[in-house]
Amino acid sequence: MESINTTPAMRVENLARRFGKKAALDGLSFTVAPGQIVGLLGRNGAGKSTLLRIVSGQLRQTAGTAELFGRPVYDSAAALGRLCLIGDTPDFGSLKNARELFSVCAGLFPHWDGEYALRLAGRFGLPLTQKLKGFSRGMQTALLLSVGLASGAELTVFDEPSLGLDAVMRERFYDELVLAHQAEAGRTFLLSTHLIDEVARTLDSAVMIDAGRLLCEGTAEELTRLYLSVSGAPESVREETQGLTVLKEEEIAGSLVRYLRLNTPEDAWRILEGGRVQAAHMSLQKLFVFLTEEKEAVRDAV
Amino acid sequence: MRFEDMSWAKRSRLPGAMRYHVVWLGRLTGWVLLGLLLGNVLVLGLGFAGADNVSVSDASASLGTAIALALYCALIAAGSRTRFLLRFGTPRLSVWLSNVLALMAGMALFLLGTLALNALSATGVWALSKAMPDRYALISYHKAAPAGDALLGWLLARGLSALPKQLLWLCEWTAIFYLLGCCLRRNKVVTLMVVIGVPLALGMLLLVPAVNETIAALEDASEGQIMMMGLKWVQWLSKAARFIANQWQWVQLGAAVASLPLSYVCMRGTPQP
Repeated sequence: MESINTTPAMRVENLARRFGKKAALDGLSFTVAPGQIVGLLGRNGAGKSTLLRIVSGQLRQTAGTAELFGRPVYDSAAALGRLCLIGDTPDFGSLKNARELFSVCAGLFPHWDGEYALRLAGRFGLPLTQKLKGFSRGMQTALLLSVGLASGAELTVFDEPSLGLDAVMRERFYDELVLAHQAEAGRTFLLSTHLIDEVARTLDSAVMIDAGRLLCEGTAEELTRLYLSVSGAPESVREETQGLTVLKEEEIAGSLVRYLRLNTPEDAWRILEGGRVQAAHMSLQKLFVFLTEEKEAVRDAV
Repeated sequence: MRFEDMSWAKRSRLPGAMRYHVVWLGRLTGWVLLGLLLGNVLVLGLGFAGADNVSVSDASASLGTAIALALYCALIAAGSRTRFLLRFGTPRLSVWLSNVLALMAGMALFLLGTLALNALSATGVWALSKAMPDRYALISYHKAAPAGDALLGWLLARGLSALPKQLLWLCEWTAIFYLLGCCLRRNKVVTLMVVIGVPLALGMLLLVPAVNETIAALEDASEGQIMMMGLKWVQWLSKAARFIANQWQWVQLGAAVASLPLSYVCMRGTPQP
């Protein structure tokens, strides 16, 4: 039997959801370990929001299972009571102002931190007594992000947390997210976003999905260790990368840049030790683009 | 406190859901009561403005207003208020329970509020009728109503004695309206077709042929036969009235009791768009 510390915060297995003929999720399986900041990464229409609606009990799956902390999700207080979902569409349910919202949230979330919520409102520059109808889109998002952080929920999910936020606010949110994660060791955060490069620095691990299916999952290091970008003189690049899978090639100002899938992690060491070319592991975003395009090519070919 | 050690209510977010309903429902019913109070004050003020027949004949709670408000609140609770709570991941049983409890309590308190307002209004008119008897009057059309100063006490007692039954009816209709709201949220088109279409179809299948038959018969009927047909219709109407007077309360109660679990079943399976 799994102990409370090793029970996955979220587990989905062969999860499927159809809307008429369209399969929004198609046999999706992955696990989110507790105590991490995890990125749920995918393009628009990949199925991220559908997945989040299922794991938050708003929607039932067509097939497969969805569990939070080892409990099936739908209409379960034992599962949903540990979750805070901050959706991508602001909905304040006719509450008048931020103070009222915080008061309601204090009853909704058992581990709610009221002082922290007020501090966050100050950090994001949110007035507590101004009518919520008068908030800009960015202010609404910031308010909901404050609710998510202050909820103290064991699993806090943010769906597209950057919508409407300016660059300064986004950086403040990521900073606060990391601070909250450090302050509460067992707390798990899941960020669903298509802005991969922006959130990459805060993530412990990532789950990439496309067309309702899993592309890959793991830590940034695990995901990118077999993917390299190599640049330098064209002749040197070609020699050093012989025998490796070239995902993309471009010539920039006389240099050749090749994006590669390695056969083994040792190939990266060999290339770097040669010293003839410059090499670096790919960013998560670049990796995601290549994996997605690869899948599309396979789909089109079939 | 560890999550596992918390009560079911706290784990299921019931206190937060109830707090949410207290905020929006309290605000809404408060505004409506304020509006009713202003209306009463305006009516009372008419005497000072020159009107010479300002009268009050009832000091009981405003059941009609409360039922209308219950319909509005039930539809909102089943719609946007449920959506707000579900979006935070609140379990559906908590959402349903908090909706039902809040609506029942809220509407009951509103009814009590209208009773208080109407009692105050009647007392105000009684007091003003002493000072300006040509402009204000406390009246009653009931046979058993006493005359003079005793009328106020009689009206207040009557209003109070009607309260338990009114509260029961209000709760029954609130339950039925909440089921209607859940069904509308589940499938608006089908619900409207059933709610409007079924009574319309029944009326067309039962009443229209009977009326057509009667009209056709009237064309060739003698005076005696017309009187007999009229008597048949009166007998049918009196049967219907007797049924409503004797049995309707049980039909209504049965419908309300059935509405509660049905509303949970309906809302539990409704996907959150």
